[in-house]
Amino acid sequence: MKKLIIILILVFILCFTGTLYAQENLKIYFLDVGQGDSSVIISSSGQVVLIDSGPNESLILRYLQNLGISQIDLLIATHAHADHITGMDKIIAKYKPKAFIDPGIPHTTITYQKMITALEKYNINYYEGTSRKINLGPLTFTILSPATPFIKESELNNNSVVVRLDFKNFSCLFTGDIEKEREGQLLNESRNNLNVDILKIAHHGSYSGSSPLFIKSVNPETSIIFCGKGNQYGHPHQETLTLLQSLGINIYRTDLNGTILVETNGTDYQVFTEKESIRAPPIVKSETKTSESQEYKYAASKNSDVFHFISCSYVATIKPENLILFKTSEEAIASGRRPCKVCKP
Amino acid sequence: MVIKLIIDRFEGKFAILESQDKNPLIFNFPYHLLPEGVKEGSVIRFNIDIDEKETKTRRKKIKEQLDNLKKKDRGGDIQL
Repeated sequence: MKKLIIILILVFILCFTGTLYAQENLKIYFLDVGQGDSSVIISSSGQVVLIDSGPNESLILRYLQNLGISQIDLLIATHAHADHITGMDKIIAKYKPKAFIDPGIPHTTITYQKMITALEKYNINYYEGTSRKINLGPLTFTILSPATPFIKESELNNNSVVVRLDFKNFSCLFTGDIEKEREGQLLNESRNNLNVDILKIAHHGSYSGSSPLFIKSVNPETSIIFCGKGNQYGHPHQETLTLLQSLGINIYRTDLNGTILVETNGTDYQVFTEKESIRAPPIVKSETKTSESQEYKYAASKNSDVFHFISCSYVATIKPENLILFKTSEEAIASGRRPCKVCKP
Repeated sequence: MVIKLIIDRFEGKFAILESQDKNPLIFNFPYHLLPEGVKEGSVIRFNIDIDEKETKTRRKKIKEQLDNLKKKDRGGDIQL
């Protein structure tokens, strides 16, 4: 599918009232909520989905009001951390969503307790984030299979609800705050559902997520990173940015671009940003650096003396924590490994 | 005074703590200052009191440093 990306700087009001664009389009707003996540999805027939509410109650309520949202059909809390669910109680009280999904893992915080108390109080239809599809007008949401049992390492992040949105030929993957352990599980169990046009980068672009093999499997044309301007956690991490750049993936960041709007008719999509796009300069491919700046082509397990092409079926079976990547076969051989007899790298 | 805070999550060298208020405050706290075994979701107790003795000592020591600096003041206008 040939996609056209036009970056436009729009007057905020025009952009957000949506008067410029045809109503038959799907709109996804990646809201600039500071250091946190919140995405509003508005279908061509007016259905509304909110995935996460960010870290600031008054801000998200204001955004929803400014967008003219009068009802929420589906509310998803990818996981229980406060930078994703603050203000959920107020949103539930005001909009009384028709369905609510979260991973089904409790947290001890007041913020989480307020959310589930509101779900009880308003008798909201609760669904666990198990492997399931949600059909909503022209949209299909697919919840990718959670790990069973849940991943213990960084439990709340890794077991985030991961949801894929399909609208005609357009697709987008929302990853919450998953880290490499979960990416490995998804590569094993949901590989066929990973390839999308737009990837919401996991965990604010932290190096705890976005393993090279995962990003390559998703193979997005465009990536979106939620992070707060000048945040103290160093998000997004340079490793993630370098990887995305080396693969030629477009990068949009809420800290630099403000709110990002993706609008699609199901075939082509356009990206609009609230602030002027400040794109990181492309990696300079100087004479000496050419081979270095190329992407990883070879992979091996830490525990094996064989290396493979990254596309070799054996690579999918390597646990992410054991995965080693090489840019050249010389590098792989220098590590004491021999070529795989199947893929013959 | 004892206060209780809840660990919302960890981000790198920070633990993100939540106050137990109706509208909780969320803030960063150095991870390395927390006891071993803390997990996300742990409720941690802080025993907080004022160390009057150390406050006095620090006040005195730092005042001495400043007084020494003041001795360097030659007085009058400054020509740079």
